[in-house]
Amino acid sequence: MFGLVIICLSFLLAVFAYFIAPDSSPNANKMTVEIGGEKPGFTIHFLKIKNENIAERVPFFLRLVNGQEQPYSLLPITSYQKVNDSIIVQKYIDEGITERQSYHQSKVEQEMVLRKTFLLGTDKFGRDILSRLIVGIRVSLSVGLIAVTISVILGILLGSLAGYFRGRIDDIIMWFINVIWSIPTLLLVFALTLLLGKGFWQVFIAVGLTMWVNVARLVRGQVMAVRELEFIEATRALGYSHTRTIVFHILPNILGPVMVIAASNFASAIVIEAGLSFLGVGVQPPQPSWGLMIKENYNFIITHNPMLALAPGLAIMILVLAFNLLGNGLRDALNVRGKL
Amino acid sequence: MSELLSIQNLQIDFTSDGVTSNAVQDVSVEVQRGEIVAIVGESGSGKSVTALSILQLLPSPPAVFSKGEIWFTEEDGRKIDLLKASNETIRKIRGNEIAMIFQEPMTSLNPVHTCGHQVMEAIVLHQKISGAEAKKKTIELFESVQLPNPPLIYNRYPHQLSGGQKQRVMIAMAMSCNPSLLICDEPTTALDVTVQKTILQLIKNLQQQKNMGVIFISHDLGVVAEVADKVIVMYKGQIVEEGAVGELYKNPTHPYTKALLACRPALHVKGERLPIVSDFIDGKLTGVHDKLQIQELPKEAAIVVKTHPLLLVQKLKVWFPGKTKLFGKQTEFTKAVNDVSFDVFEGETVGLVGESGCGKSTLGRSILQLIRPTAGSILFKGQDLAKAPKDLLRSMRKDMQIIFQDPYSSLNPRMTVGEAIGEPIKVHGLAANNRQKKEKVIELLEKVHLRPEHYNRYPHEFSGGQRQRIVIARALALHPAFVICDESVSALDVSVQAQVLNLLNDLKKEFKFTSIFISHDLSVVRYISDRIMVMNKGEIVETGGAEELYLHPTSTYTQNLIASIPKGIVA
Repeated sequence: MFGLVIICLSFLLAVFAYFIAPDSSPNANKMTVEIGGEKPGFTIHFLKIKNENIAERVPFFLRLVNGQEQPYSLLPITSYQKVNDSIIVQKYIDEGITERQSYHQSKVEQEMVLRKTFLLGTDKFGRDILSRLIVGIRVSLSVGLIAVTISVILGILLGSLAGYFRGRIDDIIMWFINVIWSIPTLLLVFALTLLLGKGFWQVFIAVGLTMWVNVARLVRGQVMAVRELEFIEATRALGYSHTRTIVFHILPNILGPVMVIAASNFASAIVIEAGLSFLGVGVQPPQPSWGLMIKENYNFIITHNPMLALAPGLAIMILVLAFNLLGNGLRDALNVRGKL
Repeated sequence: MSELLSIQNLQIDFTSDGVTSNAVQDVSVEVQRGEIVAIVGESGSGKSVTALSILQLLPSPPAVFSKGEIWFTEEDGRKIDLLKASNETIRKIRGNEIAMIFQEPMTSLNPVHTCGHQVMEAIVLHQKISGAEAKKKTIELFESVQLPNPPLIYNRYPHQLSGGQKQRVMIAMAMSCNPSLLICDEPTTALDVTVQKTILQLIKNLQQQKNMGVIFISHDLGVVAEVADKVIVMYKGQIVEEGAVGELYKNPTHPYTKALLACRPALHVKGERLPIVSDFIDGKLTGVHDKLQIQELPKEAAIVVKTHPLLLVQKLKVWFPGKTKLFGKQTEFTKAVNDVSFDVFEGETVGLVGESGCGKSTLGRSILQLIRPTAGSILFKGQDLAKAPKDLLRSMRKDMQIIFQDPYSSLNPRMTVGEAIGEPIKVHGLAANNRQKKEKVIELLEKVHLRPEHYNRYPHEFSGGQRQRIVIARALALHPAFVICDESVSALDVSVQAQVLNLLNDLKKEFKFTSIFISHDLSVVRYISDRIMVMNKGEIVETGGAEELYLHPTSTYTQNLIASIPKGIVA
């Protein structure tokens, strides 16, 4: 139940990421170098300065997908005062250091001062960790979704063919499975990313193509057990085609274990993606991904600000735990009475 | 005789999800030393639950012992209440003073240890003697249960023994500590009749030698009559009747006992309607040998007009690869069906009898091409099935069907009854649209005495007998000309078996199909078939008219087989 709540919540967060995140610029990539590496709960005032070229207003749907640049840039200040038609501010540079600057009134927004709190602090470029964390859910969830879809489709197809027909088909598929099995997952992902190029989609496909082996082996075993039952023999006696037997009679009966392994594959896909991003072959900056965030910030762990790397780490942990709990829950729920 | 075990007013309930269901109600049983007490009942009657509760082998929860006492008299004369005894005490009694033999010899031995080792383990555990002594004792025990060449068997693994031999090992294990009470839970149900006979004799001999008390649980009144001194009949968790074995068989008083005795097909001539339990409970019948007042069809149905054979099997061989040489060359074969030829005429029912492993099921399946035969021809309506191309074969499947043994695994648990019966109609295009299909399915459901509202139920909601009727409906959905019944009633209780046999007889008249009825039970086959073929080791040893073969068997194998059937008559 806990797992399901967390997963639904994270799906909602992922979909509405740009509306929920404090920083709604694309990829939550608003840098303010002056406030880099601040601790959680850091609060500061900003002066809103109008941009030179005003960005067009983006339609709702695109805003949902990509977020929107703000029409102004932010200048961190410690204090400000109005003198005639110009504004004199103390620009924040670092703890205790300020610089006096003045701006003409026409250059700043109507409501010129904005107070902002960074709940989880900022990274070394002064980007909001919370926003990047929220937008980063998208990568984790979509890698899981796509990798699981690919692996389940491939796994069920090959696994059920091998288990149902046995003989030569089985030998060939099992040989193929064993070959894939023998290649370390990371190595295969490296090879695939090299082949397909670095990036977002490549990682998804690469992870999916490595994980189908698990599913195929499980499906093959289950199909082999079910095909020996008399109702499968009955389908032959009744003259049904092989496709009908597999799709309507075998697959519904092995769906339980497949769902469970799909849920746990979802979790491991998230972990693999984080690992790849950490190594730099996964999601490329500036796109936020939890693995990438750890990579960017892990040297702060032993210095003053461990939260920068711990927050995405905790996020990964909670999401993976949620999927594993979901897997357990599915196993219990699908264990219907009258099961074989 | 002295009292050994006394169960008093035992009540056992099962709780699951907060719902309590009553399994055993107010049961009292007394067993004396040197007495064999049989508990008879059908599945779900509570007989096994009662027996398991003696050794506290029921998992609790869900089992709740709401009432009653089980008093057991130990060797030294002390009496203890097993229901209140501590786990420690029970463990000392289990295997030592009370031993148990289970139904399934195939799974009750551990496959990774040798048979000798397993028996020895029990001896060492309870008697605290050295390994060498225990081994000697084990071999002695193997001798006493009449295993051939005991020192050799000692080092054999369970899979190297036959079912009967395994059951002997189990009995040896049970006897290893000289128990004063032996509980046998359906010890011969999984065995062939000829083996069953020897095992029953063995149990009886051992019991007399050691002056043990025995509780013998069975669903088969015939078996019980051979061994028991006293019989207790259980029905729906209650004892309905008990008495000395001769008395109970001659003058049963409770209608249920009468029904159990009457519905065995052995007592009835072919084509006669079998009485079922409800006939007796409703009071339609009173005596065991009363006949149902139903007008019999004229005898013409029994006389088969030998026009032309519907099925012609010639020199059929089905060999399975045994050992293979390196590089996959076959060196040995298991000859499951070896050079079998026979024919089946239109409208006829041919019985196929044999013990397990004789190849009767393989023969049935190879006729339907579920197993490809190695050699020989199968002519069905003049078409050789063994050589038929796939498409033709698939469309010919409409004409021949099979009804399997296990009603639990022959239905897809994820499909409603309606879908399951409707599917063949849809696949073979016998209905124009969904509504017509549904009408046909409901018609079939009614034909097999199920109700239209069962259409949307799943198989797990039905009992074994009902499931078997669903399977029959599915097979008949295509109006086949030829049906193979592969042990179709073997997994059912006698009274349910009677219902299904009646149904098959009715449907045979209505749908006019030809059939092969495969069974290990000669009395069932004799009841339903016109002709009988007896199979042994892959070959047909005898063929003949049902009555004739049953009464005057010519081959020694058949004679032996018929002699082994428990007659259910007290000697």
